[in-house]
Amino acid sequence: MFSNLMQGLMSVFSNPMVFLLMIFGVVSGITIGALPGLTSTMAMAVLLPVTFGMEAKMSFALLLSVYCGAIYGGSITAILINTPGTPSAAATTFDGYALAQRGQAGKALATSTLSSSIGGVISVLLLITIAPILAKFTLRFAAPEFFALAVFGLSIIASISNKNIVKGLMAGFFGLIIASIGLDPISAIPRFTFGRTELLSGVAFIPLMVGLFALPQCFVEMESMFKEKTILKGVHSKLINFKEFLSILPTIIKSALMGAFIGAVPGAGGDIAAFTAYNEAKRNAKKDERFGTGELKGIAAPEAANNASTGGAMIPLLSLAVPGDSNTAVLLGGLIIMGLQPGPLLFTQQSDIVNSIFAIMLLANIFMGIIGLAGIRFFVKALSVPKQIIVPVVLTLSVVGSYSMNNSIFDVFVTIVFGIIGYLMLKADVIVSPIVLAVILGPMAETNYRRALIMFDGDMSFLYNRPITVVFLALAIFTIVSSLFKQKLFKRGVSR
Amino acid sequence: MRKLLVLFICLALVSVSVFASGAQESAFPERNIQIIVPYAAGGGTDAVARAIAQFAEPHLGQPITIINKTGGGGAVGWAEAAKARPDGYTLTMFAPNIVNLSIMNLSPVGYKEFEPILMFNNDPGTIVVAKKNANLDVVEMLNDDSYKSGGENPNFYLLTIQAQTGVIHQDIPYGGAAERVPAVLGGHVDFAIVNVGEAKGQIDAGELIPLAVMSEKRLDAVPNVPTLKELGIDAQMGSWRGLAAPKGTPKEVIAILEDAFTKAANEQGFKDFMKKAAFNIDFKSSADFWTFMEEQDVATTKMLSK
Amino acid sequence: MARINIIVALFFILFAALVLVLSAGIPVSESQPLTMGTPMFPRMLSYGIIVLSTILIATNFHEARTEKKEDRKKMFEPGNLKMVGIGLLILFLSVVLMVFLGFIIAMVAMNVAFLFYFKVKNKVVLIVEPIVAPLLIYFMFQNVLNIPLPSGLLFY
Repeated sequence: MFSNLMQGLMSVFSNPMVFLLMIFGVVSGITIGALPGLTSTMAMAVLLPVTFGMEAKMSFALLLSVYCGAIYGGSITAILINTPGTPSAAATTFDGYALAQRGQAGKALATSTLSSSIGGVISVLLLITIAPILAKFTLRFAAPEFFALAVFGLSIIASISNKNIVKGLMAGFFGLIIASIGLDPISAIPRFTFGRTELLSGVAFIPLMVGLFALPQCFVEMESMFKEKTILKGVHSKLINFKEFLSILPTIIKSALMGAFIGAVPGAGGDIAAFTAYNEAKRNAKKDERFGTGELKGIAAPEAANNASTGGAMIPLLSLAVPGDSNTAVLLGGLIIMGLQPGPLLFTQQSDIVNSIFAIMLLANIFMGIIGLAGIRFFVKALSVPKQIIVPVVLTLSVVGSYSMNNSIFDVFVTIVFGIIGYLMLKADVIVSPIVLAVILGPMAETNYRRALIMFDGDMSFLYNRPITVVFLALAIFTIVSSLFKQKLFKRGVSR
Repeated sequence: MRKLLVLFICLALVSVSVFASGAQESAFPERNIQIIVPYAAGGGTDAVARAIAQFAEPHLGQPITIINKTGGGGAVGWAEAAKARPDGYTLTMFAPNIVNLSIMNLSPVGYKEFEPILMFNNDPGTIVVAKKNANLDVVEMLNDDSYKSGGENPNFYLLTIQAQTGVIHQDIPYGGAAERVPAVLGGHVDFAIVNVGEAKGQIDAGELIPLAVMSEKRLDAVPNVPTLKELGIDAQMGSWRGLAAPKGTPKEVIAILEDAFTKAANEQGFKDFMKKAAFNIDFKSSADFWTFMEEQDVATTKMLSK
Repeated sequence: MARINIIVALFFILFAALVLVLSAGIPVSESQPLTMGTPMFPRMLSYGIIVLSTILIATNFHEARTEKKEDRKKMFEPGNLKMVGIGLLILFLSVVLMVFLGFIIAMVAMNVAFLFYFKVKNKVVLIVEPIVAPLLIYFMFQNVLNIPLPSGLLFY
């Protein structure tokens, strides 16, 4: 197994141009990921024609570095300004922003950088060792399994709404209704589109997310613009020490394994992986660990998981030629243009290129860690820029980010509407993250439930006679019940 | 006073006509051209658009920008393109939905709101089954309603076949080929109809078996696979892509564009790209493309009215 | 907080009622009888919201009645609401302006407006930020990423 990796590394090391492209790719990936509204898919699609004339190795060095870098980059803005740069970083805002607010942005960024890098490396190792087996396993996922997986993902809403589960669930249901806007995925009948063509494929996700996170944050900063000059105290540039690193290492490894597995299931990507890992880390919290207030494990879990999903997503892509998400769809295009046909034969007939892909992903994740750690000093500088300047800049970026996703002014107004909704919810102490989770998973749950009904002629026994489905549904029930118990204990603790 | 007014109007008319003829004389194109792609960056239509843009730039002497404007299965991008000034500087990519959506009342604009320029490819539907069903007789399968299909809703490929056989299969709705291929591989459905390019890796590895193609002639990519027509079911349907400009674009401009894009499409580099990506080249000139879409329109309308 | 919770619950019930009314107009496809129907899913969710909101009201009702006046938490300070409202207006008008005048002019105007609104006195910042930020973003999108930004209806 690892001799393959060595061969790949050798072939990568023999070409210095590959190195330069990877560094360029990682840096631009991080930048694009950090900017709200710009996604890795967009960056890769734009770079794809550039790679037409390149050798396969060089083309993948560029595309894969951008992919890995962008998933990590999203956490930087999540930590610094509470605005996830990519959907995958939405779960990082909980503890990352809280820790930065306590004056320890450097620690938060270092945790996210190390977790992302290690998570990515672990997933590549998994990709090398068990890709074919895992790929076969994911084929067993039919509609009932996807439905159960989506329900489990949705049950995490209960776990992330720590203050008030009822309000969290209400936000989740609201998000599910928002997700139902557009053409019904099964019968192709429009729902709640008010005759607007723009709404036929639903509310676009990126404008919605920019609206829910970036705008309310700007509005809150506006509130206190003239009130007091709170300069965050603390050693922003201090990183984590070795002892802290050791304490989060088990979380990183566990989350990376979960992330790689979820990434390997077609249709489930970094965002679901991050929420699931966060949920798991929180469930296993020790008594003195308070998630949501700046706990290092709360940053490590989602970040390790979302970067691990990159290696996971490559598994069905390379061994089944099935792209699990939009990022791997672009990569599939890249592979085909290079004259490579992914599928079971790729590993045997084109093993040299597969080895290079492994080596490139491994190195890209390591470079990402080094570049990220070196950059923390500059990233935290963003915190010392006065908010009178930060707010207009973030608003400009929000406008351009929501516009450019689909070259649509309509989407900019969508952002503003959700900005207002997000601000009102913030004021009423309703958390907005359930909406993000619901919009991602709602269509998956509904489509697959209805598809399963058709598959089994209306017989609902698929809910209890398929092992994988049962496991996920049981996990979902367990998550909700244990969150309810925790909330009761928490309330009792407060009243005492 | 009146004379003055007449004089003024005359002057205005003269200046307008001079201006207009001046504008005509200056060679099209003078500035960059936009192609609105109604599907996401990274998809098949987007890939074809970006590739043809790259090869057409030297022939037009102006840069070409790709704008992805997704939504409503293409309706959003086409609505935008139809509204654009008909001056040849805004073009759009066509796909079967330009015909289908307006029949189903899901799009405010149809192909009649555009002037076709050139069609690039037409990938016929290919019936695939999992390895364990390799020995199935395809005609038997299509005539037996106990086999389940996985397809998009509405599944035009299957509807075309059903129009010939009269047998209604249960069709479980799936999204794109990325969902249909694993459904066949995992045995969740018995067969699916995809484009060869979308399943090439699995076909080469023998995991998916192509049983028949829905085209006039056999495909170069899978020469051993018979057409449905050979087997006695005359059902043809494919997924095609082309280029079009908003209605009202001057004839001369269309001619310049058609000429430039035809030259670009015939370059070896573009053909190589299409071959690598397993797109089945089927160039159709502006006039032929129009006739082709009219035929599609009639056939689909008939199919959906049943 | 109890009073705010009840207001929140009432708003959610209103939203759910609206969804129920709107979903009455969605046609049900008859081609596939097993699919549960297009309006079913949002309808079930609306009932869910109504049940949850009722729970929220029930659990907060007692506290809301007994809560002392001085303990009550306000959702908005009047000054804050004004501050945010004007900011929102600047943002909204700038986007409308962008439709007509294009990205650069509208975004420079928005940045200037915000800096004045936030009472920035430093002249260098007042001049440099509104020009540099939009232009840098414009250059990055238009030239590096090749993503065109709106040029406005009045210009080509």
